[in-house]
Amino acid sequence: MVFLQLAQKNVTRKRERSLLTLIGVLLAVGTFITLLSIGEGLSNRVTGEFSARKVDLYVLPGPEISMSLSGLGTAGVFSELMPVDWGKQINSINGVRICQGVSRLNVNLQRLSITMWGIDSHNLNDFFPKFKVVQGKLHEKGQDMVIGDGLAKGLGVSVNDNVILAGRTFKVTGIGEARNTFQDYSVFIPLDSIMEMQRSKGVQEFWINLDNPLRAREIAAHIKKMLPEITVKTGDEYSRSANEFVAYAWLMQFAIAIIGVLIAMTASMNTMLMSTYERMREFGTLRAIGAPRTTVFMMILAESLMLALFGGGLGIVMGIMGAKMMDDAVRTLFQLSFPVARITPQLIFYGIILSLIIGVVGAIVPGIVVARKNIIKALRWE
Amino acid sequence: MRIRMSGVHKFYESEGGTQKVLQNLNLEVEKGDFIAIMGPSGCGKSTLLFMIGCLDLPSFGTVLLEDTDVAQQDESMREKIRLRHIGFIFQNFYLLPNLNVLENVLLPMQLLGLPKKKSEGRALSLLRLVGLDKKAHEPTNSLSGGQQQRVAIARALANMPGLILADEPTGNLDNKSGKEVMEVIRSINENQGLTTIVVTHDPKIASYARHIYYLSDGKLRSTVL
Ligand SMILES: Nc1ncnc2c1ncn2[C@@H]1O[C@H](COP(=O)(O)OP(=O)(O)O)[C@@H](O)[C@H]1O
Ligand SMILES: [Mg+2]
Repeated sequence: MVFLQLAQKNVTRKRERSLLTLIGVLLAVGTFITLLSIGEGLSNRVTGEFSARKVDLYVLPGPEISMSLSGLGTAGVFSELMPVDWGKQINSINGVRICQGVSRLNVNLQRLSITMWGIDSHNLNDFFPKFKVVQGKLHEKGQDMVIGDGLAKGLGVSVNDNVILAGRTFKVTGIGEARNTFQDYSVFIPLDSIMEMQRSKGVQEFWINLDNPLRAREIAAHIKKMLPEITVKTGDEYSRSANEFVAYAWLMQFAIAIIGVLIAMTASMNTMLMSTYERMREFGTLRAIGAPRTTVFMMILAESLMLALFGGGLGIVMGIMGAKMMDDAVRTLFQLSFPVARITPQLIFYGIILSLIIGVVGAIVPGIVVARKNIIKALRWE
Repeated sequence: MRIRMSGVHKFYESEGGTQKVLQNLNLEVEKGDFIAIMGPSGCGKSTLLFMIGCLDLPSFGTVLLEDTDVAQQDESMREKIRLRHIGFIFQNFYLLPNLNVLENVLLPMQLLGLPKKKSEGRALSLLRLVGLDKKAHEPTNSLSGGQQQRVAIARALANMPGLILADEPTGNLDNKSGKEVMEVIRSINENQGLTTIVVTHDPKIASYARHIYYLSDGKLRSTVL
């Protein structure tokens, strides 16, 4: 494999050139990873919210409405309300096992925006089966509060502490975890307490679990007939519209990332092409002494791939550090109580693929230039 | 290696029309012979040499190396001929700057896929032949011009070619180094029976050869006009 040896020597003995190319790839991959970690984090938050939830039907206020988004990655907060006693009517329908009114409120604590859930403790585990209280107990009385462990750590709060939220004092009765960035960064209080805080007699949503989830459509139609001006969505429909939102958020992240990538990629390709012209006589020499064109091309490709993969590796490390910094910055800027940036194996895999693409694309143009160059012209290159 | 060129023409198309560099040129070089080709700058000496060396193609005519018309071969065949049968020596040495002295001499053998140990032995003995075995592990840019040219000679000999082509091998050297280089080339020709063609415009350099040709008006002559 003489081309590999040549490539390795060219890379290690021409330090400045290697370094320049390396920096280009490093910036491309690093920016890519950092920016996409935000998209990954937000999508994880929204999908985490739904995947950790078990709700067969949602009853939402008003006629057919589209999914709204409140706060970063908090899907489905509606400003219209429904009378709380509709819950009893829904509950009387044959096949409805539980119907729970649910409201959400975003409040500030220690300059962080926190999502509070009004949901009664005896139904909590029906709708959030993965959420387990790991310390203390659930919120039974009006001033009780259960807090996700991620948020508890972030705020430095433990069981039996008193916390003032929106002018009301709550007592932390329990700390729970669901191992996802949504519930672990939420606060749960009884529904009545949140209605009091909102000074209303209404709820934002009704969540329903059925005896037989296969009857969801039939029962949804029934509820719709019974109550005026509402929307009923199955769990799938509800999370699908949220996922659609996530897909668009991801796409936007991707578009932004790609711009950075293209700029850095052009820069690193430019270095490679420049160095190709600088070394034209070397290529001419190789060809003159009988090196096959494939050997020369493979040498260029191997050089480019070595630099791209090494630069890409460093870029991934930089991307991970960048994601951490980005996370701190975004959280401070938007006063978020939960992590936004997230590095996943998939993201690292994309980073490696991107490095490979830069390596191959960066070699193709120089490879073609060299292969097509007349040997004598290459030898006489100034 | 025996060379037969017959009816060779070489034209270049340029803005001012067709430039006829070689016209109906004929040349015969016997195996083991040492010839010099002289002529003023720009008369086509390099063009002629590159054609014999499979780096360039004639516009018309045949260029036979032994019994192969190299003008009729495809590029991959011509690559093989260059690698196995021809050793080039250039005015500017053209050593690869990222390789050290030994690696430069090893390169043609590696391209041929020869075993490493054997190649290294041969590369070192070639460097001894040109008096540079002590510099084997030095970078090439630490060498003087004359030394670099002697490394290039060692490289040209690496795959035991049948033909040595030298284009102004002393053009960038002072008199003393130029003489040393020519002595090496002559001794190789005498001891190994390699067909040798040297292009030069310097009569002193040409005098090392057994036959001298003059290139003018696109043709070769045995005497100055
Ligand atoms: N690729 C080319 N295109 C056009 N003209 C060329 C090319 N290569 C050489 N020539 C012309 O051919 C002539 C002979 O060149 P060359 O063989 O290099 O001369 P010498 O080696 O005798 O100095 C010169 O006039 C040069 O300008
Ligand atoms: Mg010349």
